[in-house]
Amino acid sequence: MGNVLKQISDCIVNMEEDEIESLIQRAVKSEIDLDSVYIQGLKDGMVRAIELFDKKIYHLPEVIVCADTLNKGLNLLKSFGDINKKSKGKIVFAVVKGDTHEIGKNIVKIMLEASGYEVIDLGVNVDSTVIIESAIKEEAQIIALSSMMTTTMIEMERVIKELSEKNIKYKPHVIVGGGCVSKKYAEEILADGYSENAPKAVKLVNRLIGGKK
Amino acid sequence: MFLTGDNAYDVYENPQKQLEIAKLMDKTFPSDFTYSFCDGIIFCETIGLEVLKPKKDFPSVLNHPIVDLESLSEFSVPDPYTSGRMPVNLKSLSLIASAIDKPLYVSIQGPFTLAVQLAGATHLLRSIIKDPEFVEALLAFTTETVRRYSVAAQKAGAKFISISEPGAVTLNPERFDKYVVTNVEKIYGDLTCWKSMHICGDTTELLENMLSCNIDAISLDQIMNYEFVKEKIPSNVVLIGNLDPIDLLGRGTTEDIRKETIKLMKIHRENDNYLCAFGCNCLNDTPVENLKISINTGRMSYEELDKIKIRELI
Repeated sequence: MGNVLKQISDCIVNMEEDEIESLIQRAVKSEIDLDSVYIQGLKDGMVRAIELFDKKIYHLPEVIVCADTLNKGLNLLKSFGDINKKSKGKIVFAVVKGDTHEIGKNIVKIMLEASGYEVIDLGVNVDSTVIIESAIKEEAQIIALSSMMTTTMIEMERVIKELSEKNIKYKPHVIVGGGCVSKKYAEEILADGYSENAPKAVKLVNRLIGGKK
Repeated sequence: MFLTGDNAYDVYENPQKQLEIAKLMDKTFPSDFTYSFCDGIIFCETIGLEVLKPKKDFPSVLNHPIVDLESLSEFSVPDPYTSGRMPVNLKSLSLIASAIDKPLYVSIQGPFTLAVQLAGATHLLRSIIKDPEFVEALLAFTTETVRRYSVAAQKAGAKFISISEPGAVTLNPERFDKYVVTNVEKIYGDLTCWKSMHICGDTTELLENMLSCNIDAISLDQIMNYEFVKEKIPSNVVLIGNLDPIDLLGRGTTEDIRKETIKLMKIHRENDNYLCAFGCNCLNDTPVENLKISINTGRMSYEELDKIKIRELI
């Protein structure tokens, strides 16, 4: 059992996208429960990949391909039944209206998911109303906003203002980041948190919702 | 845009309007150079990407259609003299260069950043590992696009061309050399005007690689510590920057701006190769007075600068 799970984990780290499905099939055939395949195989591999990124052995292209490999394996694994991913919390993530730069959001998303959070990815150029309605519908604990342009960061303030006007019992925290966004700006617009890069974004989310649902 | 009430395309499509704006900019914010209106979208628009065109903001791309060799083969390198809006823009550059007696500065998107726009950042980075042949072909396409346009801009009167490569901040130094240095050198090699490179974000690890290019000047983001950076800049390269355009110029007081500008100039007092400027693009709603105080302070003489004591700035 351990052997195939280790192979799945290694497959993620080594970015062997063509091999991942056959390994998942082998694991399922061996009657290993789906949760173990996910946690000890797929997720373990992605955590190891991010550790390599932290050590500057891997860079963004490697992290993206590791995540591609994980997602391919996960899609197949899901076809065998429900997986209890034991989400640490739910995050609605968007690049704000007027801005189409996706890279920052995608990297933070990969790292949040590897850290056990469920991320609802709304994509780029997303209207404030759509972001807020999605967060309410999904009962998200966090709204994460990204902007890479000085001209669109004002949309972050709009989301925070519109959210504050909503009469809802539990308001999600709003965290912000992106090339042009600073800690000072985040404080000015009353964001609940700011992060300058992806690993720090994970730490910020851990601090804000403490791994609780 | 807030000075005249025009939207971006009113200006892009009208050389006379470009000249009018350049004159107004020069009168309101006099600097060492004259400028055309920022046009970071011209390559993507000419190549045929779908573009978001807000009324009071700069345009940006909405789709990234070039994802493999097959889709790349459907596009051709634009001719700056016949393709899309490029001839109109060259006419604008020519008008400004001949009407304003200052060197014309033109910022041009670099080949890697253009590739990011065409393929999407995530997909391009993924392809570095999964489809390196596509990445090489795409960069050959974007390099030739940027090279042809840069040469045409120089012929139109540009005296200072800055290649802007913000997308390259996602690369590690080895890949930066392979995908950026190699290609921008092909462009710089065909230019005789002053040449510069600008990259936003944290470029600490890329600084040496940037400096290995054949450049006359380098411009870095406001997050870079110029006290540290200046030690690494050779005397024949001008360091440009790096006042914070957001928290300082956009939201600071005029007194804060004056102090920070003076502090930055004092850091470089002994360096002949320093040009006081902003770290990146300003916010659209930056107060006019903030820009004026920054520019006026940045242009003060050494005599005036030396009279100001550091303790007065605390």
